[in-house]
Amino acid sequence: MDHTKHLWRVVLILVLAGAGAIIGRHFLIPKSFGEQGFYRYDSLGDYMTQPVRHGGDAACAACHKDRADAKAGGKHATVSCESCHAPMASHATTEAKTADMPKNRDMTLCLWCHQKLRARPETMPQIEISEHLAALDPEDAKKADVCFNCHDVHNPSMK
Amino acid sequence: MLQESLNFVFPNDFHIMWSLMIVIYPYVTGIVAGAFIVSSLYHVFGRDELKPVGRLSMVASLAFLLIATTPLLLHLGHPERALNIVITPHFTSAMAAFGMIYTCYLTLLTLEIWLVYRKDIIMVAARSRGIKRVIFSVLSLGVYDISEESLRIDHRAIIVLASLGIPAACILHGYVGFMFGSVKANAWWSTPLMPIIFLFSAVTSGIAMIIILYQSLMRLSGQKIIGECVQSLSRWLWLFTIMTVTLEMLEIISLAYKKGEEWLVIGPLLGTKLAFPFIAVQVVFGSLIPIVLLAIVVLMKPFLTNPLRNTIAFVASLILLIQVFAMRWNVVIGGQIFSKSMRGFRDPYVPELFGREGALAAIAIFITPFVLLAIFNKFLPMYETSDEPSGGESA
Repeated sequence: MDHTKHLWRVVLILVLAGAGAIIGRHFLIPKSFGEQGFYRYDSLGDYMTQPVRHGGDAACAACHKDRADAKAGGKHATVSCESCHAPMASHATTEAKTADMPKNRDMTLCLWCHQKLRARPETMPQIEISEHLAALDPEDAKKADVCFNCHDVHNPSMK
Repeated sequence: MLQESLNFVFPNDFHIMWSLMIVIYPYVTGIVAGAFIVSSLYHVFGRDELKPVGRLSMVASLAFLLIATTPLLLHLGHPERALNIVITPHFTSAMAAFGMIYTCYLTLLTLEIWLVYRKDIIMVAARSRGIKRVIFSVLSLGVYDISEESLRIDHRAIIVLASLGIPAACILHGYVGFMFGSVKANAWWSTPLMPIIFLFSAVTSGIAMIIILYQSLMRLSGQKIIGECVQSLSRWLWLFTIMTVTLEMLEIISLAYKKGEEWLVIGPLLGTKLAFPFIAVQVVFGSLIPIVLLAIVVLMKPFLTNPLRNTIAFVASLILLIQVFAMRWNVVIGGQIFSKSMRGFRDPYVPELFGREGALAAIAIFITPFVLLAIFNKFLPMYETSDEPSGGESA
């Protein structure tokens, strides 16, 4: 009597599983994968069909020249408008305004870049918020939009 | 609004991206590898005194292996994409390699357990009725040969599989250390010692888990705890703990002695942010105390009663499980709480409680293998019953 029958059945299962994996792989790999590199080439087309949401600074300047000029002359010249405001698509199309542009005046937005962090280069203006506000009236210092007391955000030198 | 339109602002070293789940992941895979090494000590290296844990250690390895990828899935989200790296592997991706190693090791371990339990499966099928009989008949693959010759063949196959399993288990966990060791931007991780440290601490956690599981299982099932087995496990655990701690300390001493640029941030990191989890938990509580406790078990054997030795071994194992968890925490979280520019630290990391990557999810993941073990044990006991010796297992 052959005492290895059970082992041969295991081998058969493993062979079937291996074949299943190879066949399954054939169906699971997206069609255009590897055509132009190690990615699904059709994904480029998918991205191209997505609506454009950001307009860029030039698009903002078309209607808000005063703000754009103020920004261009200051330290925030290289910061995109849409970094602090919302993307263009939530405010206007190429033809008309569709909604008010949200304005976030909360200090946490400013601190995102200006909170003192040792990892940042020393040339980057950074503050320790409690020290920075120490000279202010405590009631003023508690307000979320306290930064606006002294700074113009488009040209953030002292007002 | 902000996140979707923010410019790149140097540097973006704000958040701890690798969360508690990435701590749990190497912890669990370490137990997988360690438990398997214990089973190999019996199956391959003929340590007969470990026979009582031969089955338990293999099944425990499988139970932890089955949930090993869960933390990764919870961390990354999109479980539907989980197989992508496996179906389109690339030689530059260590994660894709993990998919292959995981699959091979899972197959190998399942096969080995099946061969060890084949006789039991057939006997359960023979004395059961209904759906249970169907399930166990399927598990036996329709072959009911439990002749001496077939069990002898099984035994040989088990030794071959267990031998193949040793490098597989070592690679499975060594790779986890390799992942961290190859992040060259991070001075706390980037050392070729990393896979070796991970591997040794994996074996430590595996043996510690088996000591705890064995004693708990025996107590719960009203069986006698075999003193020789606990004694032998404690001896191995002592050895691996000493080697693990030595390697962990060597890495730090090497960094401190060389005083390279990275020491300027790693020194303060150990002295401040990691003072409690590293120095207090990992080194003093987690390493020194178990080494002393296990030294008592190993060196003072003639003076210890069985219950006293078992209790000391149990406590030392429990502390070592905490030590290895602390080591994973200190590597994964510690490596992220200083800025990659090495100028300073970030805010400390406190895991959330309820979230997808929170503390409760981590606890649930960790409890699952014990539930799986309990279910397995209900149908196929993980300990040897005196009236029903296993044919395919004795070395």
